[in-house]
Amino acid sequence: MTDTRKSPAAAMLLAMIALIWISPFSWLAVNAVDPGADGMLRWPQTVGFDNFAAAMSGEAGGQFLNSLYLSILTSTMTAVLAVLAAYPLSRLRIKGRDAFLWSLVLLRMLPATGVIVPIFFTAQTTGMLNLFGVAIAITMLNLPFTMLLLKNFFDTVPVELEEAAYTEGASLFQIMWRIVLPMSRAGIAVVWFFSFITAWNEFLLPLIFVRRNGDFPMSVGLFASFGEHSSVNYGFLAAYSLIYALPAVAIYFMMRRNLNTGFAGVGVKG
Amino acid sequence: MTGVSLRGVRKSYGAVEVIHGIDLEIERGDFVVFVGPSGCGKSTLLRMIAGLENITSGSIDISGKTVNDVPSPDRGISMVFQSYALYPHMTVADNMGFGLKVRRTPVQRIRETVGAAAKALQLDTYLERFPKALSGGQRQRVAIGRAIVREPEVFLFDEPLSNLDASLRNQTRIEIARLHRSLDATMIYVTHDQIEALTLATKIAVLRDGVLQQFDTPEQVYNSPTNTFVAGFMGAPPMNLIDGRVGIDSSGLHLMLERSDADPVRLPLPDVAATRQRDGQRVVFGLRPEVLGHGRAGDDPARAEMSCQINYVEVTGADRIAVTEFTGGQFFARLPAGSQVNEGDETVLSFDLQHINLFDWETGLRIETRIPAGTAP
Repeated sequence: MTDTRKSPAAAMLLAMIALIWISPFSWLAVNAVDPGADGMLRWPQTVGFDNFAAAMSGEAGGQFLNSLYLSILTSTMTAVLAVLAAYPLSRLRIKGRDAFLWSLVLLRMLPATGVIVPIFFTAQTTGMLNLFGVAIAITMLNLPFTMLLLKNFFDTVPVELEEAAYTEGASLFQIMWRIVLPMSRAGIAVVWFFSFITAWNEFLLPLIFVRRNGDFPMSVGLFASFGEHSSVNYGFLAAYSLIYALPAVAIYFMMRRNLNTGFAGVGVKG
Repeated sequence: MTGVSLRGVRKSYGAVEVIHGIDLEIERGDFVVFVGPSGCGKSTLLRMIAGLENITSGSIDISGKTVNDVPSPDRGISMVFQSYALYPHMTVADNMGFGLKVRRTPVQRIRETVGAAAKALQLDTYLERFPKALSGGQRQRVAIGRAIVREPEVFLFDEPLSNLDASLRNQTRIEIARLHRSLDATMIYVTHDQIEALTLATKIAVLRDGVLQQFDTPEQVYNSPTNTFVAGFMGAPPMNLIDGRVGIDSSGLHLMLERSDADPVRLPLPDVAATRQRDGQRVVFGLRPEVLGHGRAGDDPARAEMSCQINYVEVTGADRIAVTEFTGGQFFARLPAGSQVNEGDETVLSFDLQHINLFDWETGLRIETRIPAGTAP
């Protein structure tokens, strides 16, 4: 690493790069706290929380709740289904298991937009052109990756622990619930948070699935707000964007706390 | 009353048979050790008794009940795994009480049973700790405690000491022996370490390539091995096994051991039918290194001697291992540390004739030369 004490020029260069990086966020911050924001990157003329209030109430507030609903539903469905699918993939010797796992890798690499058309028509036929349908679609698209991830996590849980629990009289459900899942907390947390963020950030699927204004999540609401008024309400948009970005930051801190655990090796020697 | 009974037990993985028809009767209260080299099938056999592997054919009975199709938790067994298999996210108390909790035992009873087992194993101050805060020996005791708490009819140990260092292994071995005496339980113990087998067992089952070689007391397995494999496997250093030839001359029945750079060694053999009928045949001569002494046999007719040149000497602190060569292989003598034997010495070694073991040269099976009292030769 460059020792900036020794090189003022390097220090200047790094400071400029840092400034460019944070400037979109600083733009958002100064405009969000200024009720009379004019879209310039400078200290706010006035300071108040009117913009935040506006972004949390009425239609905007509803969109926040829609995003929350979509993301929690998607992440929970994904986590449950991925756990149920990954466990047998990890433990059972199924013919063609490896080929199946490789196909999951392939599915993960395909662009989601490539299958948007059939997904749309399926949703239309089944009457799922709504947020619930979006949650199912995102879950489907997330499952290959999350199944692989959890399968690898389950592989690190030594099978002797399950054998020990089995000889002690635990049923399969008890083995999963009391032994495997607690030891895979980190993996399940990753799956949940990852799915939460993909659903929170998802724009295209809600755009084409959701038919009613009141059901839009924040990603679509932000897009729709651009052309809405004759003049752009910079303060409102900035506040709205910051609120939209908040969960990602919260998720980051929550993931850091959870990913520090790695129990698996401790119960088993060697 | 039988503790565990194995009849014609076989195990195959697909077309490959790994356990070939094992028959064993384990008495209640016995401490039986399955011993053998890696891959001999001892762990597989233990897992079949535990219910963690299916039995391809044959039957296993525990306490008189056939358990082939009985799920593991209902067999009345408790298993201690080589890797301890402690649940890392549970405290010592929860680890030990897991089996009881899963069977909906009342909390108070769990607390009492776990407390008593913890006290017996000196774990009572560690009950609220997690496995990661324990040493290897403590973790092993928790694993044993977890097995005790379930009050099984049979304890199964799968190489429980192999992950411990030497001093801890000795200590834990004594604790397991003490446990066996205090619980008066049936224990089946798997190890590749023949010292563990000899010190812990009331009966040893020696296995090789899925076939039972010998099932007997440690004394019998050590002193009267049924074949050359058992003879060479048990004991450290192992039994000397040298090719020789039986002959009869004017002095009687004898064994000739050829040497490339010296006269052959001539040893008297007991004149019994088993040896007489092998006149002129090759046999394998077995003698444990520790029965040899430095010096002449003197006038004692029960002792024999051989003069030899010492090619190599190994000093191991308590012993002096002297090595001499025969055409059939190297020959080890375990002498006391103070013996005046050095490399290059021409010296005499002697031993009691009753320690001679003879094995068939082709099959490796024991030729019984010792006459039991009251039997005609």
